[in-house]
Amino acid sequence: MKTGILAYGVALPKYRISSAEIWNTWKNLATSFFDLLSIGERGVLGPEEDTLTLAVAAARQALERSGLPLQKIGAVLLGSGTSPYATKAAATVMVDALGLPEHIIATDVQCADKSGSTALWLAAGLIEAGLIENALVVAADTINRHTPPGMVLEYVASAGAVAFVLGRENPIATLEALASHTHDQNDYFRTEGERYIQAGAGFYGWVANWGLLDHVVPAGQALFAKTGLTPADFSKFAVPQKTGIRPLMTMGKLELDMMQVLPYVLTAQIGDCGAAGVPLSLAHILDFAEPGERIGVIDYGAGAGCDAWCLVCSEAINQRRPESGLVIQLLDDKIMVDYATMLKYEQKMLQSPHRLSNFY
Amino acid sequence: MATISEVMASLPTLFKPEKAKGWNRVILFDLAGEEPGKWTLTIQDGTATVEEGSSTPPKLTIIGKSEDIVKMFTGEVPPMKLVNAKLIKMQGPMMDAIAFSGLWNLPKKY
Repeated sequence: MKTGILAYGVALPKYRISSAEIWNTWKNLATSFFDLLSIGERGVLGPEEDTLTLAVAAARQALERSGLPLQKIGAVLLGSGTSPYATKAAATVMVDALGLPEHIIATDVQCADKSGSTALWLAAGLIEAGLIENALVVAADTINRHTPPGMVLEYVASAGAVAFVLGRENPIATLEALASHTHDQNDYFRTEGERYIQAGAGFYGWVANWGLLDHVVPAGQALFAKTGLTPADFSKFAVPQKTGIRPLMTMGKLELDMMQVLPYVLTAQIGDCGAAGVPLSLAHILDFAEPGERIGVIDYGAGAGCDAWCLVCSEAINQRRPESGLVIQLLDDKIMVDYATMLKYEQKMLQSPHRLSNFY
Repeated sequence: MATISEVMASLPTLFKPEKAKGWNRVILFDLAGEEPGKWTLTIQDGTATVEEGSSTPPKLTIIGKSEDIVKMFTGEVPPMKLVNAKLIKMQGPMMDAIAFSGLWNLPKKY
C-alpha cells in the first residue's frame, strides 16, 4: 500500500471531572478500584460541545497541518457511535463547517468504539482503488453525554475527536496491513430511541471484558499471521483503553511488551474517548514517533468487532511533526468542574424540551 | 549500602529516556525507615530530575522504607519481590505503576 496518514489533528474537551468528585455524589464503587482500573479524570463536554463540534475542531487542525487545498479532499468519513443524528449523515454538516467541496463523498461510519479505524480503512480503500486522491477521516465520540448519572461507566465516560488526512503523497506514516474479527456480542450498546448506553456485561470483572478478549485476540493474531510479523517487530501499540484493565488484558493475551503499550494509555488522564480513544493513543504515539518505527493499532468496538492494523513511519514525520497542540499539551490544558456543572453541560438535568441552549 | 540521597541522585543516570517519550509524570517517594523523607522525581520530555521534598501534586506515590528503595535501585532485591511482600506500595493508576517499573536500567546483584 502507498496510502498513509498525511497529517492528524486532535480535539479534547477542556473541562474535566475527577473520579473523586463523581464518587462524592454516588459512592457506588469501592475507591480501591480507581487505582486498579487506572481511573483518574475524564472529559466533560463544554456548553454547546458535541460529537460534531469536536470532530470539526480536530478536522480543522488536521487539514491545516496537511497543507492540502480543500479541493483535494475527495471524501469525508465520520466514525462515531454518538452522532447527534439518528438519521442523516453528520459528515454532511462537516462538509459545510469546513468548507469542503460539495462533490465530496460524505458519510458516517458506526462501529462503536472502533468506528474511526473502520472509517480510516474504508477511506484508504477508496484511495487505493484510485477513486479519490485524499480523504478526511474523523473518529469522534461523546460517551459522557450518553452515559446515565449513577452508572459506573460515568467514572470514565469521556469525549474527544481525532482526525486524519489520508493520501499517497509523502505520508508521515504508511498504512501496512489490516485484519479484522467480528461477531455479535452485546457488551455495550444503545437501541433505537435510547439516549444512554447500556452495559451488557457490567463494568468491571472478567466478564465485563469478554467481548474485548473474544475479538482482540483473534484479530491481533490474524494481523501477525497475515504480515508474518511478531510483537517484537513493532515499536509501540495503541490499544483499547476504556479502563486501565483493557490494555493489560490486550497486552497479556497478545504477548506484547508492557513498554510497547502502557506509556501510550491515556485513560487516567482523559477517560474513555470512545471512537477517539485508540486514535488518540495513536496521535500521542505519532507526536513522538521516529522514521522507520512500526506502530500497531488494535481498535475494539463494543459489540462491533476489532480492527487490528499497522503503519510504518516515514522520514516525513520529522518534517511535519506538530510543534504545538501535542496530545500531552491538550491533556494538561484543562478546567476542573464539579458534578453539578458536569450534569448541566452534558444536558443531563431535566429541562424544557423546547430550550434552545444551556443558556436559554 | 548506599544512602537514599546517593540513590536518588543516581536515578537520572539509571533512567531510560527512550522508554518515556511523551510519558510526563511527577512521582513522589514518601519514605519511612532509616532515612525518612520525601523526594520528588519529575519525568518531563524524556528527562528525569530529582529533588528533595514535595512541591507538585504527584500522579504516582511510592511508599516504603528508604532502605528498601535503596535495595531496589541498587539491584540487591528484585522490585517485584518488594512489591509482592508489600514492603513497597504504589498509589496511583496501576498502568503508571507498571510503566514506571520499565523505565530503569537496574543493576542485578540477585
